[in-house]
Amino acid sequence: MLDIYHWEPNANSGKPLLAVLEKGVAYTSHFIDMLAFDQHKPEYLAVNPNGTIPAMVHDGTLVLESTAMIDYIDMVFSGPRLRPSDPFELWRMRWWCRFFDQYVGPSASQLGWSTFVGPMVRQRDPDTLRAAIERIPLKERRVAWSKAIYGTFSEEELTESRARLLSGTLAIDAALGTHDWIAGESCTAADLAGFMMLFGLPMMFPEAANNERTPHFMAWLRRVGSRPSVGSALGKGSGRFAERFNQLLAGEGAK
Amino acid sequence: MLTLYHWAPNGPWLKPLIVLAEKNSACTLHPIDILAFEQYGPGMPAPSLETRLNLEGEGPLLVHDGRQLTESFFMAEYLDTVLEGPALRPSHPVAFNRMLAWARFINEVFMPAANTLGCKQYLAPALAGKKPPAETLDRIALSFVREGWKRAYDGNYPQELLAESRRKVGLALERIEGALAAGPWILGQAYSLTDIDAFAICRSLPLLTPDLVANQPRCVEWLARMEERPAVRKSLAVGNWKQPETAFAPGPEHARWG
Repeated sequence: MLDIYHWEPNANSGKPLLAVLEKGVAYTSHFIDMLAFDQHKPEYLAVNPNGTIPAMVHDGTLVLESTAMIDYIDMVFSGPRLRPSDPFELWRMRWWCRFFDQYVGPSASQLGWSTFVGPMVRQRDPDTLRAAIERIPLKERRVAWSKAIYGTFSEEELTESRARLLSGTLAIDAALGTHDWIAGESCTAADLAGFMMLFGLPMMFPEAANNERTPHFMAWLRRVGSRPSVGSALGKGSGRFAERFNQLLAGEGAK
Repeated sequence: MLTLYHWAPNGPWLKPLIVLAEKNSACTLHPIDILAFEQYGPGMPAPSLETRLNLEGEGPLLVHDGRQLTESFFMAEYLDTVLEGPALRPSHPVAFNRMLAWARFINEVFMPAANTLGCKQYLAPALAGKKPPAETLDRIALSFVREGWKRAYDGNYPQELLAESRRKVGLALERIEGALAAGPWILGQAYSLTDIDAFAICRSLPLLTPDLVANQPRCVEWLARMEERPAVRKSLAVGNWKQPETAFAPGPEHARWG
């Protein structure tokens, strides 16, 4: 029995979804509305006391950490491999996963929150919002949410995030100039994770990601985006990100 | 051909040394003086796309048949995959997941915190009064590594940063203490890369945060258990450092967003 608790097929929530869909694993989807703070409510805390999403429960065992969940799914279930058998490509997969998770991912997410999500959430009742933040179990997450909701990113932080996205997309583009998939010759966890972190970038920050500046990066987004697993994953959310996604696939240079 | 470019056996440099010793594997050791910035000098191979951007900050470089690897934990995983000898990664998927989760926590929370305290206590005093090598620092690709060096030269560690670092170190020790309840090792019955990963960072804590270590009796026992391993003793003796646990250079950044 495999249960996956997730928000929209975007960023971290999308990673375990893509992994099970790639491998054709049967699972039960539980949509947790992150913007309604369902992840900090008692029903969900009974599943994952940390109050983070995504989470996965397999035969009674709680499995966390979205990128490491892909390893877990790949180790436990049959189906196409999501990790390279070549040790050096495996290292490169790890390296890019970290680059996505800890370098470009948080920068993209900061821009996304300051531009789109933050203003949307701030329209809610301030007392309700404050109470929702106080319920968050982990201190790190409390700080992150409070920054996200109140838009307290400094101009300096946002400038740094933009700089990281401008240089980060060039690095990704350079890597994809010599191989079709980010770690080498096959589609791996790093492609799934990177796609989920960055598919909104061409729309959100076109100065960094476009067909002229980063053609390999754009072709890769479309290559991953055309996989059947991604189409199925999009059906597991509310459709909030469908427009972003369709624009990406319909863009020039689509393969 | 396996070559490891390394500094003192502490922090990220200690991890691959222990793995190599546990595996009893031959490797050409190439010591570099990090404080003399030899890692950016002409004696090093030209970096690859990935190794130029080292999210670990200053750390070891492994070259295997011309292929370059950085990031001490992933390097340790690689060595465990390609070398003969006792397996250091759990084969059970749940334990494997825990190992990766620990690696992320150690890299993103524990290591930046211990590194900040270590740089303040040992690196900054060693650089006091010296002029930063502006040209070399400008060549460093990642801004937070440049800033880490500048901070050390200026001795500029705000109280808030130190307090936050102490809090994170305390959190890490609590988590390790909790995991060791089902010990003797962090993942349970079997010694693993997670012990090596955590030990390499923990080893300086009796000097940096003695009070926090003393609060966690199982951690104290585990540290002693690690020190007794022949592979660990052999690794700590590399380069004949008097006190390798005082060797610090700018490491990974504190997570920027919470």
